Amino acid sequence: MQYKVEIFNKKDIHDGAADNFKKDIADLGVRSAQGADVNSLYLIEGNLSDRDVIIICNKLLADPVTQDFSFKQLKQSEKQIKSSANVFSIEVFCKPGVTDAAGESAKIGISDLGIKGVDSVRTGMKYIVEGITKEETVKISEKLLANKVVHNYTIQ
Amino acid sequence: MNVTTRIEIINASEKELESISRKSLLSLNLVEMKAVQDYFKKIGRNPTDIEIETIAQTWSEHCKHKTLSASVDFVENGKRRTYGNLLKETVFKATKELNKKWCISVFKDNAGIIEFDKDYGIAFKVETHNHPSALEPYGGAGTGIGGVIRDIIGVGLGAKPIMNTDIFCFGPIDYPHDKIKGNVLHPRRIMKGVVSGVRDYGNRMGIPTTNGAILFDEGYVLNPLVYCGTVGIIPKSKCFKKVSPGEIIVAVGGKTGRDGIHGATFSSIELDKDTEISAVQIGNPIVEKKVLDTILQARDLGLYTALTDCGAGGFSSAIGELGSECGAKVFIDKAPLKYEGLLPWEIWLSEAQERMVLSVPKKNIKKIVEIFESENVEATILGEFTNTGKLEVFYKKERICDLSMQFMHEGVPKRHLKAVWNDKPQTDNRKINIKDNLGTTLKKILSMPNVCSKEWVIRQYDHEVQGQTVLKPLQGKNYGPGDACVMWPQRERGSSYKGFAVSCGLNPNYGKIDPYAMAASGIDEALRNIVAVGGDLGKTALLDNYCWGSPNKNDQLAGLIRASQACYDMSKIYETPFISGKDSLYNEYIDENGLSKSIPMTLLISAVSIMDDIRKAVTMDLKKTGNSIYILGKTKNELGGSQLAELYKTKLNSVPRVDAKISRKLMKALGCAIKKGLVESCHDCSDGGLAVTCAEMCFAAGDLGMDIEIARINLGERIAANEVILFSESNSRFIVEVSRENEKEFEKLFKGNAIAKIGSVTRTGNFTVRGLKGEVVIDEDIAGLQSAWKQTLGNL
Repeated sequence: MQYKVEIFNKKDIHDGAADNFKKDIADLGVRSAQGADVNSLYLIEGNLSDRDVIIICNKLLADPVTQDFSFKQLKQSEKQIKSSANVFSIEVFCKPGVTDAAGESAKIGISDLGIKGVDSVRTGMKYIVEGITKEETVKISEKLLANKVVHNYTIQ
Repeated sequence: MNVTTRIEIINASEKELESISRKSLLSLNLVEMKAVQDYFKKIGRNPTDIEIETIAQTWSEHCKHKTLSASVDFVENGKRRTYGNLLKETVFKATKELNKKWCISVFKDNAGIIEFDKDYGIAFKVETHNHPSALEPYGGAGTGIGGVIRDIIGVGLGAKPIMNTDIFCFGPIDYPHDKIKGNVLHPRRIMKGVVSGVRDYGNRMGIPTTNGAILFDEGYVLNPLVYCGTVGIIPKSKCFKKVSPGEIIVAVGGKTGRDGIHGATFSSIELDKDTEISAVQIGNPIVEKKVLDTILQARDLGLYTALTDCGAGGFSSAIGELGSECGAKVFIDKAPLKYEGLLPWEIWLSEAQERMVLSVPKKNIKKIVEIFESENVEATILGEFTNTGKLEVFYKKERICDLSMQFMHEGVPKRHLKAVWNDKPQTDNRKINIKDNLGTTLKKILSMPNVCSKEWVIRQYDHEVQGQTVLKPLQGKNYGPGDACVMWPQRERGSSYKGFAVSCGLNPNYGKIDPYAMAASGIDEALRNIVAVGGDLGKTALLDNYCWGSPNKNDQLAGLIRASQACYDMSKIYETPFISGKDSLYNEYIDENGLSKSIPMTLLISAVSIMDDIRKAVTMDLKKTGNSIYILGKTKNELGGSQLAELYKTKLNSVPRVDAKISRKLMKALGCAIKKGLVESCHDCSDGGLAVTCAEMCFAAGDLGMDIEIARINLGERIAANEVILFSESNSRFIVEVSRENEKEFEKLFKGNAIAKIGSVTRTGNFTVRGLKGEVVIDEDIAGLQSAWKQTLGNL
């Protein structure tokens, strides 16, 4: 089975990555963006329970002081959630076959926690941006966030 | 199932040979393809895919330097000159003739090694990773630095990396977005990706980045340059490797995937906007750090006799080189893979990162594997070195490659090249129309991308880790730009105050006028930077890194020859040997109008110098009110390629020249003065001329100013304009601060050199310049100058 974990900053914690993201958007000439957030994603595949995933997040993937997490089990028939009016989220993952060094380290880290049965870990980024059009979202994705040579991206 | 394909070549026509080379991305020309055809005709069979790929890789420009070792027929301003082997008769020749006994290993290993003290040597190598960085800046730059670190781990029997240096050339960061087409990335994005790639790899390996430079030019928009360098320390007893037949081939480190296939041949292909290949490599610094730690343990126990890194060409090139003098038998199916489905030739050629190859005597295998296992580093036996003189590769018992080592390493046909060079006429219009007052001009120059503060980049790098950095990239309490870094390596034995300095010099603007002047200025600049911090000119070695366009174009080849000749001439006079170098040719791109364009010819000179006492190192920030300011060297009207000419868009051909004999004498005297402790601060004059140098010295200190008089400056020719003297970029000049009580002794040391006292350090907090007629021509608050310098890249 496959879990999707999302790591995000706690409220009121300064997020440098989000600030840089906002600046980069403005540099591209997209000036209407209001909010912008950057979260990390992990796709963990293997024989795991919810409890295992909570341990993995608490002990390995999320910084307990500054970060929080959410996770869900992905099912094949799952429908994509419709985006609300003007909030888009862009998810960027490495293409299959491209070395994901952070994913490999995470896999080793999980086994060091004593949790066996993980087949693979893939890492990605989720960018959430508010107040821009779909066209602008595509522009940001291609000009800023994903490099077609190594990345795939999806917009929701 | 057939694991290999036979390539029909024996009976192929010339046209077919060319098409085979093109379709399989072999980058071999017709003459070379015919040499391959002859070889297989002689042995009476067609090659397998893995054989032809191995030859293409071994003969690639990246590995064999076919252009620089070509014979050349050169007509220079109407005079004919011939070279039997360009590199051997220029850069190498100087080193050979200088024959310095402190040069331990030059031009034959993964890096050059010079003597540090009686027990240790210093190894230095600079590489380029341009095309991968254009496609995927983060991964390309990260693996660039990862690769050069492995060069240092793989030199001799292994050196320990102790510092990195990174030099980048990008397109302008304010380049219009609508001019970027297709898959090409915007210069700003390339810059951010490259900087973070280098940052993450270097920082995570725990190696400080203490030196570097960044240049901007429109010529780099489609083809950025990423130079990565590493310095290592190595016991003198571990500087040489020797493979013996019967020893085991052990692969260590990362797994093999389809990463970066054809990287070596890819480096000889022109980029266009749709280039998208599997040539992307992704780095993993954590794996490399573990490889480094375990290899140093095994080295100190003497468990292997040779090693090298898997760089361009992967296993094929690493094992091919190690076994070139004996032979090797490889069972390629044993290599650990990232995923299934790789063809044998892909495993053999893959440029997956973080891999090293070792030659281990049978009796040491158990012990060495234990060491690697203790740190979870994968070590795999791939085969053994033989005495057959053949490279044999097996895949599941089937022999799929059987090539003569001699043919592979010596069979490449020599190239014969022709080039013509004519000097550009000196322009009559040597005047620049300056539209501002000189204070404003100075501020504008301080803000220019090639002069401005690179603090945004420098702060992302760890330049302190390992605790050996004495002079850092930013100096003074207000952080001015240092000339060179000074390192103080800690050793197990014989601790002392001995250290070394590292600097660089490059100016592609001069190359647009005359590549000879660019090379000479680059060498002078790198040496100035070394001498300015207290390095010893008598124990300084140089590295050359050429990034050029296609040598099939006359102007490019002629420029290459001019630059190489300058390297020889300068190296000989300064007595600073070249110890290592690398060329990256075919940096070409197709512009928006479909025309094939070359990048600006760019020669990077790096210098490393041994310092007897790091406590004598000098920084560039002013120290004390009342001290005197001297200028060393003569100022000439040399504004060609200068920042001033660029600011006011004037084309001049009066490019700065170097009189190395005069310069050497001056540098020797300055070295002496610094050793005696007579110099309070020192900064060299380069981009932007002496006004920029003085301004930087002021604002680095924070609360001190400077008052100077132009009329006192030594001139090399008659110059009537203040702005020419202030902004001309003549070489071999320094601004030096000396205390009143040391003036006499200081001046005595410079007998026979052009020096002049031009003013003093003030407490006004202003930089004040009096013109030729004594009138005040610049009077600027230093805080204002500093903010002009900082604003351009401020906080990207």
